[in-house]
Amino acid sequence: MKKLVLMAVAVLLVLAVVVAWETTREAPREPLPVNTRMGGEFTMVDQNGETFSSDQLAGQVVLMFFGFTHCPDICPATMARMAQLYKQLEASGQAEDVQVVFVTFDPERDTPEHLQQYLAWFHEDFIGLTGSEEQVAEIARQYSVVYMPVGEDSQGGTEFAHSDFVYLIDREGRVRKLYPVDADLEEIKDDLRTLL
Amino acid sequence: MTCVRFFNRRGVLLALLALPLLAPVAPALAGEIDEPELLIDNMWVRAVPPVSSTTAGYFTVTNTSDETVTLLGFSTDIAGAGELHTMAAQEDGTRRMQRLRNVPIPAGETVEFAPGGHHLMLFRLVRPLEEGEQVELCLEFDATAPYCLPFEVRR
Repeated sequence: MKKLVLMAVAVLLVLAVVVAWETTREAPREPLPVNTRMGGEFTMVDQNGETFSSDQLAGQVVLMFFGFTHCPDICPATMARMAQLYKQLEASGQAEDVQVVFVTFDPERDTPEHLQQYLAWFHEDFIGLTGSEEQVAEIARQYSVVYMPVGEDSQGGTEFAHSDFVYLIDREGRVRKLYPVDADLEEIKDDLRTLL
Repeated sequence: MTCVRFFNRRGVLLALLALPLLAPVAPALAGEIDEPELLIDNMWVRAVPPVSSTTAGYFTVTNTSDETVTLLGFSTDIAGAGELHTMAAQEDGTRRMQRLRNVPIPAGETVEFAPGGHHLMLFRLVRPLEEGEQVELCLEFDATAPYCLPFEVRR
């Protein structure tokens, strides 16, 4: 009789644990949709002056942003947020397979050397891509990035009108989500984790 | 009319400590003048890589008077030129920076200079700015003497 009671208690305990587990765990997230209209293979020049192929990003989850280093407001703000996010991922041991990529649409001023100095200030792991005007135009077309020189500012520098999204790209190079530049970092991290 | 300029807490402290120095540009602290009331707060300048020659400054201004006050521009020793700019949305979905000749602060309203919107554009920085340091920018309004205030350099 005593054995039966003990067995019943044990079974009840197991059931209680199972019920608690099922009711408290988060429901699995729906996978992020794949944007089939954007992306593709590209060849650019990185911040070290080396040819850089999209193949070199295979296996990495990428956060890509298009801008120019003479932009005083949105671009440094976005890169600072990317650095903040990346450091948080580093602290939690999740940065190894994440790559932040900055693509300039101002190759005339954003030489590899200039990109290197600019990006290293945000984080030494960040990759900067530049290239010929044709290469820049092609990658912009692939990602539906709009950028247009709109004349000179009062100091003689070229001004651009441009779109300003951050692209989340999975390990296979597929675009999975676009974020506005002021997107919540927690949202980006949650999305990233579904791809890692 | 008795008017007082309001600063943020740090601004008040600095102003009082430096009262003899500030008196010529901040007469409201010393007595009665016929000037509108403005509350200026959250002043900061974006830290940028040393290789960058441009950056942006931000603040919030509230006009507690019953007359519009207009921001005409600003000056600073840390940049070769300073202009009022905004990021304007275009019909095609892009945004572009545009120079503003002035920015009216309507009576009773708050105008925010913030990332992605209105900002103080600093051209030709004379030196790299260190995160955490205070740099002085003098805001020029139509109805007052310039407000020279400390802006914190932040990432």
